[in-house]
Formats: sequence, structure tokens, C-alpha cells
Amino acid sequence: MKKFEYNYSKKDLLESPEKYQMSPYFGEMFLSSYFKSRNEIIKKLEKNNCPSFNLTGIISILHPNLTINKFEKLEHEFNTEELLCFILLKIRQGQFNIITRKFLNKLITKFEIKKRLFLSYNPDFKNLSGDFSNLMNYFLLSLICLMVYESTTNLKYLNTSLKLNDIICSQQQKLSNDIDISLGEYILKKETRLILNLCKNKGIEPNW
Amino acid sequence: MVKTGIILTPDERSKAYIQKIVKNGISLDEILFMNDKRNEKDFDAREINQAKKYGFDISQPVKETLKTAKLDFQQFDFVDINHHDIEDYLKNSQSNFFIFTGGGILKKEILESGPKFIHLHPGIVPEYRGSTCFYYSIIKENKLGVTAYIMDKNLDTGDIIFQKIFEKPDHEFIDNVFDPHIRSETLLEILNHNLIEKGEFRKQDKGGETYYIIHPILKHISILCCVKK
Repeated sequence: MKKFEYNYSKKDLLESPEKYQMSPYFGEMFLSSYFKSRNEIIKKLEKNNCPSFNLTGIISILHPNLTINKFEKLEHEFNTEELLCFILLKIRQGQFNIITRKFLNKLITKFEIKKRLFLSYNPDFKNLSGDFSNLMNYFLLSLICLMVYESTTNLKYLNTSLKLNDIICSQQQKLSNDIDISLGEYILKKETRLILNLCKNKGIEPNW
Repeated sequence: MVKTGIILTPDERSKAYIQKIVKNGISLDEILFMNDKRNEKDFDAREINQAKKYGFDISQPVKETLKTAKLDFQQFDFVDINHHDIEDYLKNSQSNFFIFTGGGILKKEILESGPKFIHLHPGIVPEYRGSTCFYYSIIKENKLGVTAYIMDKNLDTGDIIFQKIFEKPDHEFIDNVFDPHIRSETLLEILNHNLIEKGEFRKQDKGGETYYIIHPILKHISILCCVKK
């Protein structure tokens, strides 16, 4: 029987973005290869024995001065990581409103077009920096998408998270600090759990 | 009298449209063919057979259909709806509407060139705008649909001519076979019932969702929803 490798996170996806256009169909084995691939990475991350993921702790380390009112309007250029932390705070506090959703959808659009997230944008979400290397942006957007998918079952968010996680997995050798590793482990476990649940709801039982 | 033309490209969608139009004896006032003379794809025999069950042959190039049916057409040696040669042509066209088989966003100069453009989008708008919508719809609702609308400056937001729902297929050939099939069937219904001439177009409801190219994992889940018993 032909064996399929999950190849969507093998190359450096930040340097060579994947467009995902007209992707081929391989059958149920492809899902099995995806779970195998993700679990191999999860196991590697677990070996680091990092402290458990703590969202509030991570935000307070990344942006200790961030307040829940900081981005009620976008009038100036903004740091992407800070805006993402703001969105996470809002979700955490049950205040994921129309404005926050609009910011999220704009960032998703930006990512889906370029398959990159830049360090900063202007209020019209035009990128101001050529630098797309901050992995934390990909972690944070993926986490937000998974949380929003969980509460809304809107597949658009799960779809974007899968692409973000392919990028994160393609950069696994760069994950060195406790925050990256614990966040990476948490996000990949969450993603695979949600995908497995979706499969089961559809009567699909991947064998892995 | 309303005149309707079609703008074809060398892909499976155009093949389905023009073959079914010819088979059903429908005549169009004008045919444009954007042809970059790309190499024809090699299709799996199972794909070809499935398409034939739906009434079209994905292995038959568009130009061959046009020549066999002895249809007059204007050819352009590129595939780019926003090309200035297309803009110049359209400014002098007598057609009121063009069915545009490609995708993407039309630039302002094309939208203002004279004719209106009709697109058949494989999603029921406003709930399913954007890309690869049918895969998402299959997962969420076990069915999918097509919307024919008048193109405007944004993506999938134009006035609706007609919408049609389809049951999900029982095979895996969605991109190259089922997608062109459901779009072309919807087009036939519009043309056979003179819906363009009737002009009873309606504005879209507010809200909705825009989807992006589906990730292979979700695509597989969607196709498995079709092929698994």
C-alpha cells in the first residue's frame, strides 16, 4: 500500500510560502500521515518539559503594559504581536466584539494573501515592515483562530490555523525558549484534537 | 433585445460551459476566447469518465469545441480579463452582458467598459463567498450551491441573478469535474429560462462569510464526506 507523507510542513514555509492551490487528494491515509507528523513534533516539544501553557502569563511577559482598552480604535501604526495579544485578552475576558472580530479578520486576510505576518501595519493594515520572522505572531494568530473556531465552529478559522501551524512546524528547529515550546505544544495538541473531533463527527476514523 | 456573450479560457470550467451550451442548442451573441496556448492537462481516465456522465468531456480543448461547432469567436493570446486589449474590445462590443468563466476581481476600467459581467460562483452567497467554498459547504451542510451574479468591484458581492443547490457528489473529482458541472448546469438554467433578459436581479443580504483556499486536511475531510458510504 502506498505510504503518504504529510509534506506540507517539510520546507521552510516562511522563505517559500505554500499556496495550497488545487492540492491533490490522497485518501484517508493522508489524514493518518498528518496526525503522525503533528504528533512527532508534539512529542519532541514535550521532551523539553517546559512549564504548562499559561495564556495570561505569556501576555504579561510579552506586553506587560497592555490594557484591555488599548486598541478600541486603530489610529496609528501598530505592532502585530501587541494587537494579537489584545485580541486574546478580549477573548479571555468574553469581550470578543465586532471591532475585535474585524481586526482578526483583517489579519487573517493579510496572512492568507501573503502567507506571512509582518511586524507592524498601518491602520489600513498595509504592512510597514519587511520583517515577517517573528514566530510569536504566527503562534498567537493560530491560537486565536483555534479558540474562535471552538466557540463558533466557523471552519474559516480552523483553516487558517492549519496553515499557520504548518509554518510553525516548518520552523520547529527555531523553537528554543519555554514560551515558544509550551505555546507550540498547546496549539498543536489543540489543533489535532479539533481535527480529530471533526473527523469523528463526519464518521471518519483516521488510523494512526 | 438583450445580447449576451461569453468570455472563455482554456480550463475545465470553460469546457463544461461551451460544450453544454452547444449540446443544448443555445446560441450566444458573442464569444471571446482568451487562449494562452497552455499544454492540456493529463486527466485520470476516471475523471474523464465521470465528466462524461455529467455531459461534458474534460479532455476536449475549448478551441476544438468551438471549431467543431463552427462557432465564430474572437481569440486573444493571453488569459487576463483586465488586459487593455480586452478593455478596448469590450468598449466597442454590442453585447449587454458577458458570462465570464474566470475568477478574480475586475478592474474599474473593465467594469465600466460597457457590458455587465456575469460570474457563476460555486457557493451560496452571502454565506459562502471567496475561494473553494464548496468544500466548506460540504463539511458544514452536506450540500453545495452555485450563485450567478453581476460582477462588481468586490469579490462575490454583486446582485444575484439565480442560485441553485446541489447534493454533494459521491466521488472525489470535485475540482476538475463536479465544480465545472454544477456551474455549467446553473448556467444552462439561466439561459434556458431567459433570466438575464428578465433582469430580476436582487441585492445580496448583509453579513455572510468569505473563505480562503481550503487547507488539504479540510479538503480531505470534505471529499471523504462524499466518498465514504
